[in-house]
Amino acid sequence: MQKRGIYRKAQIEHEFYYILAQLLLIVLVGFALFSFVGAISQGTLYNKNYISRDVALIIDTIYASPGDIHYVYPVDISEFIINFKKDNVEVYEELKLYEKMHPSRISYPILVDRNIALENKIVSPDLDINLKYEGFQLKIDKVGDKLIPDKNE
Amino acid sequence: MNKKAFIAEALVDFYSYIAFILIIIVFFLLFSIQKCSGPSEREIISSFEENNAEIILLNYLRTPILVEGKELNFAELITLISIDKEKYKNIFYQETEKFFRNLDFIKGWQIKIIEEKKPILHVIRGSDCKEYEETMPSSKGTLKVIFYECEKSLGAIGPTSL
Amino acid sequence: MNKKAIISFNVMNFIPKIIFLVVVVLSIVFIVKSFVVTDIDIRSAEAYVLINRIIYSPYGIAYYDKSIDRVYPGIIDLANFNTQRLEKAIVPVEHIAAKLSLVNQGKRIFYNEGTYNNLYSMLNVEGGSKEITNELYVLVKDGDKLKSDILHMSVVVK
Repeated sequence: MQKRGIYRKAQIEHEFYYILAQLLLIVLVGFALFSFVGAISQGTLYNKNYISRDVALIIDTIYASPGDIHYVYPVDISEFIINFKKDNVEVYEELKLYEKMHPSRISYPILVDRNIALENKIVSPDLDINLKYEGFQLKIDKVGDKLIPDKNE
Repeated sequence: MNKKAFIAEALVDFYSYIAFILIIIVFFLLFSIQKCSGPSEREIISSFEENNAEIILLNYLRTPILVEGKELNFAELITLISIDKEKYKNIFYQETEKFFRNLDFIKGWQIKIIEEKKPILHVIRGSDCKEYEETMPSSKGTLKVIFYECEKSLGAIGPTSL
Repeated sequence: MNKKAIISFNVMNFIPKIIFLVVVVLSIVFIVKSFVVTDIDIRSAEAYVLINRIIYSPYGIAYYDKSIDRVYPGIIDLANFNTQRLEKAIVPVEHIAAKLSLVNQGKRIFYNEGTYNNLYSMLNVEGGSKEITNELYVLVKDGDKLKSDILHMSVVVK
């Protein structure tokens, strides 16, 4: 005699696999969503964009000063490497990316003053990427007709 | 499957739709609150406006004017007022009105002169103001000149207090 | 219900759930992306920095006394009020330009004239440039004389 309802073994198995499939789908979708949000939260695009523009504006402002200036940039930039070029500021995430001139860099132009020489250099927490230390700050000194960026010791 | 299980599943679906709609409403409320913020942008512009007003005051004090046939500037005229107010106050009013009449980008203004914490002159041609001051020495001690850059104009009807 | 009916019933029941799942996932992605800021608009700040640089820098249009190494803020040296001085001081770039006029003197100079005209024509275009204007009461030093004037500044930024 056939029994009705879910008490038949085949029906139980079917229901089990059906629920398992739904759970698997939930896990996959959940994992994908969390990865997506995690990637957005750890993203550095905004930070690089912000720092490149901020530092470029600071250089433009310091150019205008009539005397000598010692300026320490208050934002902690331990995670980044700043390259002061002839006419722009580039921000990289890692030294290896700088060495490859990687397109993930963000740069912003500086309004160069022909009367004041900007020293072209890279400012990074440490040239060895594995030895980054916390609280690394950038300083910019204007001495006479020279602008010298460096790390603040 | 029996009838009760069928209804239960549909009920769970219904509650999940309601929960989803509630979450969307909360997020849109949060989003519309976030849109109202923006203080940092206003901060940068306001500091430039303050620089402008300070330069106007500095240049006002340096502006050359003719007093009794001699070329002086407002700073020197104010020093003379601290010595003999009655003799020089009318020239001061006329020249100050003429000065600010040429600055049509300034809506309203006030000039106040204080000597050793006592106000000696106050010209009012505006309200709802921000103040900027300069100090200079006088025969009796220190003269303070306060320029008020105002949001509203009081025009020529505004009082001049002494 | 037989087995085939249960299977087809479950599959049919699953379709609205899949649609709902897709809607939820898309909503989360949309909400997260709408909170992400990608654009930083510093055009106004940049314009004011350029204005300040032009009017306060010793290499700009301000009166600079070399003997005491002092810039007089708010006093324009008429001898410095020319385009060549500005373009010598600030290397022209593609994204910003300025026009300065002394109203009473009737004089007008540019920083990066060609770019100014190009960017000015893009003012009312969507995604185009932005104009920031400012007026300042200044004193103009013409030789030994000081004269009153209004400095009108217009900066266009891409």
